[in-house]
Amino acid sequence: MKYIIKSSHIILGVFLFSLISFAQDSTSVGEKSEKRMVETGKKENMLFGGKIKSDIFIDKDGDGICDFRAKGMSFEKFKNRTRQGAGSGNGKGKGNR
Amino acid sequence: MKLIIIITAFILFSTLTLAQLELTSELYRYSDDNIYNSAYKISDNIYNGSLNASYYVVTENNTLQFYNQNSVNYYQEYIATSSLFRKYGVADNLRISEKSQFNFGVNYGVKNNRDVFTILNFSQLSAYGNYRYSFAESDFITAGYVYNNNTFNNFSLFSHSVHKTFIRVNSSFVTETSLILGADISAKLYSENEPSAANQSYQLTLFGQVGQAIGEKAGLSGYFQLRRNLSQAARSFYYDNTLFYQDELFNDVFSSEGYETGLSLTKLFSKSFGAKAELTFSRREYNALPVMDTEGNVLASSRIDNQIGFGVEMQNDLSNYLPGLTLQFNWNYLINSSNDVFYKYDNQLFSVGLDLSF
Repeated sequence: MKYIIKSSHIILGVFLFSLISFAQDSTSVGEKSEKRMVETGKKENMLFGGKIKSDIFIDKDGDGICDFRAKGMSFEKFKNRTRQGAGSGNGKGKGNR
Repeated sequence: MKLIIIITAFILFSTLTLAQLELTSELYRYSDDNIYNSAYKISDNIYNGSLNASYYVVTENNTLQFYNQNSVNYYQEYIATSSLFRKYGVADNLRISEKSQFNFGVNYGVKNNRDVFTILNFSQLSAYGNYRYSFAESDFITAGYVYNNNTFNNFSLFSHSVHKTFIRVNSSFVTETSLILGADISAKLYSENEPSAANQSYQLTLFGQVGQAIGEKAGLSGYFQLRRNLSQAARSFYYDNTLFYQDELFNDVFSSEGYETGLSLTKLFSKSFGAKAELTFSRREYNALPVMDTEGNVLASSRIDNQIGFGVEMQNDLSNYLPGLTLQFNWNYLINSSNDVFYKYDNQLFSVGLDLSF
């Protein structure tokens, strides 16, 4: 009986801990997606040893706005959605058109 | 003790899994006054919902991604036009050195329609690989290959595979000008050989785009794309005394050649609100698609379309209200003039939607 109580306490403790962790996680989902974006950016910026400076003008999508200033605002979603058809064949992944 | 270890391991695994899983969902409402883009102007409201999941495995030099995309288009009045699209895929980004990286992936997509439109169901297997080399911090070149296999279950006559190779150069300059130049060549090979007709098409595409910053928060962009058919194969079939061409059932870029050009102005009003206005013009010549009247008499040897399009798009980040939430608004209007009266039309489309990522 003593063992059972101890186990149930552990399980309850773990359950509560998980709930707290989840609650904390859901309050910071924005931060998490921002972090992922930054992480992805970091990986790309590892080119040249991570020396890319934010004051350098880089515009990969050609819209005339510096990618660092746009900070993830994507105006291409609508086009991608409406143009998706039998012939599009595009998937995720960089450089895949 | 064993129990504690198991539970601890479970928690650690769950935390790890959560950290590497990305979910996005979208919900849009479209008000479309010409859903089939034809002279028979049929309007409807369309509801689009999508749910996407990505699982990342990230190491120092490699990012592997498994993903699944699900999208439903529900037509309020013309319910039979509704469709479901699903895609499963793997994408990998391998960073070979400071200056070069390799990307490759495979995906499989299925589109299912309803009722009479189930004849338009198709599946697609796609694979790609490309190499990117950076000459400088703001200049890089990408070259690659894309393979698509499109299977139309009810129109095996149209089933085909496409092989495409491309090269693209991106450069940005200190004048805050960006330049993209690209070229690709595609080959379309039909799965079923027809002895009396050509069984393959080849197309060359050239693309150029120039962007210019106007201050820190605005940009002007112009592009030009030219498509030329090096050889062409057009397939059609008779049904109920009507001749149907592939392009009329499935969007087929090989059926036409021509050019497209456009200008856009993008403005970021704040960190959370941006807008874009766009003006486009395109000319498409369908050299293997004759213009016919309702009696089947040929009026012109090839259909020619000229299209003018306007668009405004606004995006507002609502993360202050709910983290990961974005509001999108779009207005598009296009006028299509054609020597085929069936394709003389205009189309106005409003859409409003929410994107949620977490």
